[in-house]
Amino acid sequence: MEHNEQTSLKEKVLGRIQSKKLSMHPKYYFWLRVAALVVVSLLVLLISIFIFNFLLFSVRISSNDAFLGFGPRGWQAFLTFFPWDLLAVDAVLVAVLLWLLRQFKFGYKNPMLYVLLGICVLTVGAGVVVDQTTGINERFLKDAHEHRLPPPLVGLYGRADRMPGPGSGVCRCVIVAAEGNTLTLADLRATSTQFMVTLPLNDPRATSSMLKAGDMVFVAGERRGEVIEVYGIRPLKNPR
Amino acid sequence: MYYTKVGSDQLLQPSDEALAKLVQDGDQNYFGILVERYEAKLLRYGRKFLSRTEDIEDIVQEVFINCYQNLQSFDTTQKFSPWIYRIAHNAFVNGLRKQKRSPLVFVDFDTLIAHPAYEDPLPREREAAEIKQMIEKSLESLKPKYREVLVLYFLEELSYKEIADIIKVPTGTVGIRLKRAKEALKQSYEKIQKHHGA
Repeated sequence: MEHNEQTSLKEKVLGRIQSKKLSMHPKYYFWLRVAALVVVSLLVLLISIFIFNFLLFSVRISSNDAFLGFGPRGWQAFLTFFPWDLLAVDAVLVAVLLWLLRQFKFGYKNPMLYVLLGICVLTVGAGVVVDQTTGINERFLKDAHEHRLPPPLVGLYGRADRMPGPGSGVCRCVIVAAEGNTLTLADLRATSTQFMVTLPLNDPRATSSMLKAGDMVFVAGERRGEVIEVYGIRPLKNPR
Repeated sequence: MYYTKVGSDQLLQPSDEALAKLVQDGDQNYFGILVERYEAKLLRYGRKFLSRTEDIEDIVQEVFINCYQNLQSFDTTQKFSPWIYRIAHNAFVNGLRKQKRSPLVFVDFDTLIAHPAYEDPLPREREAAEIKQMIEKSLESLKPKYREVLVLYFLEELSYKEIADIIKVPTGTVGIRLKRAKEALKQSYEKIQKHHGA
């Protein structure tokens, strides 16, 4: 009985081979498949690095990193305004890359956590290097403002230096007048909007001449009408 | 051509790898010998995953078809058995998933970190008879990931490294999975024994 079954299966398979219904994939098919896998993996890695680089640039250029020096409320604001959607996209790409790498021997022979850590270190490290050394982001930002970038880059860079709305108590402003612990500021988003900023009395910037009219500053605080009670203020070097 | 001694009469037969090379070079009929050599093994392997004989036979046939189609990707300097078991493993796991409609598991926690990968051949020899008996009686109660390592190690007598290549996990994970599988198997076996005793 077993012999009959064996013959039957063998005959079925050989029959299909001999009737040309079944053929072997040529060697180059496998080379192409491996090459496609390598290319897709590299592409996913590059996109992931690029998005992380953009994320760093976006945090830097929108002055959101300044929140980190503003104490617990600053941290809270940093987390609120952080571009989580980009981080989520990057996390998905890393997961896809992890899955792709598991198709290769080194991908499944090594513990998944180590491969994941390797990808993260590579993405973050390369992202920092691209952001800090290449100047590609500044060039793309300029091109986006001049509508010379193709989608989706134009959309991405168009929002890179966006600020929270005028009512949020966060702004990039120019100092119109400075008097004691009170500053009169003009919002760079709309210079016609002016408001007062009250610094805490113990803030060294309230009594020193650190801040003067004409300086650009990043301000975070609670807006009450035309007055912002700040919990953080930082001079801007390269305002946009 | 590579030859291996087969059977008690010690006749020299072409190795699986040599046969695969012949098929790769266009001698399709040699594929029949590979089918003969692996059919019973794969059916036995399939029975540890699935219960319906028709399903298992269909899947084994698909495995051979898949094997033939992809034979040019087989490196004849490597061992053939882990390669074909890998194809079979994927096919049976898919079959099991369809049958049980179990969700796709992306992360298995025992593959996350490194585990020591020392393979001691003595326990296999010592435990083989006892474990084989337990496998026959209580394998079905185990998770598929435990079933496969037990079957591949104790019944198919493959090494940790070969099993790691088949199920695509680090070699250390095979060791830790095998250890847990043996524990689960023993527990399950004891339960069945108690049940029968009662």
